[in-house]
Amino acid sequence: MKTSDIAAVILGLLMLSSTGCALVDMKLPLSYKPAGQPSLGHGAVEIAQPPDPQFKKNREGLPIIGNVRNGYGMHTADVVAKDSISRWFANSTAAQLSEAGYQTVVVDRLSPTCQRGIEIDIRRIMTDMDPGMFSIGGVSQIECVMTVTKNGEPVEQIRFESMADDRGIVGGGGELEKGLEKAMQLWLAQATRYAAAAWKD
Amino acid sequence: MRIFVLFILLAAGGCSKYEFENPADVKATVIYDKTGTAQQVASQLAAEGRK
Repeated sequence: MKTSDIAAVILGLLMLSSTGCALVDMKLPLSYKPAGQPSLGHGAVEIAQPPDPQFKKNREGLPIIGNVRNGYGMHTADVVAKDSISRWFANSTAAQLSEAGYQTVVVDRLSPTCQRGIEIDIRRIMTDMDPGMFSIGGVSQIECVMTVTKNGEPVEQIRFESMADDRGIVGGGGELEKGLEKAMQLWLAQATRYAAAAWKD
Repeated sequence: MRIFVLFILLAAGGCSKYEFENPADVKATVIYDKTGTAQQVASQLAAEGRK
């Protein structure tokens, strides 16, 4: 093998392994922009901020919500939530219901006689870095249970499992953040339909 | 040529299952429904999904 061949191999290996290679935990901000939705109703809605899910934590005490992988798909570090997961769920639900026409307020506990209320039980959040030949993706999954209350009584309970992907060339974490946001949009777009139908008189 | 084949093999090691497809999906399972509206919404969503 010639020296130029060896140099080409080393360069190729460096380029391939640099895709998504990281040895420190990735602190992911949790954001949400509501998915476009037609008006479904109106009136006040209380959203109970869910309890913080009991996820495994890293050395800094931040909840682990995914995997950082190198170009070969090997786990090199964890993805941890930079922001409060329970606040992210509550605020995202409030934003989506506002988009659908409701006046929302996030509370610690639903008031006993609230006309319309939502409680959420967060079961699972996972975002997995997905390196490919031409792009790096973030495959994200959310699982939760929503309870809809009407005049202080629980009237409907639904489990949602959503999955979404976002891909890019650079792989700086934006794909994982957007993948999670898309997974949140997917279940919330359906959840507001179920809740609005249950609240109708 | 050998180098080219080596690169293809190395790159294939990082092949993604989802690189060329969109895995977006949501599944709703009704646990209970006292208003009787969930089935109707589920049917509407299924019909919209088929369009």
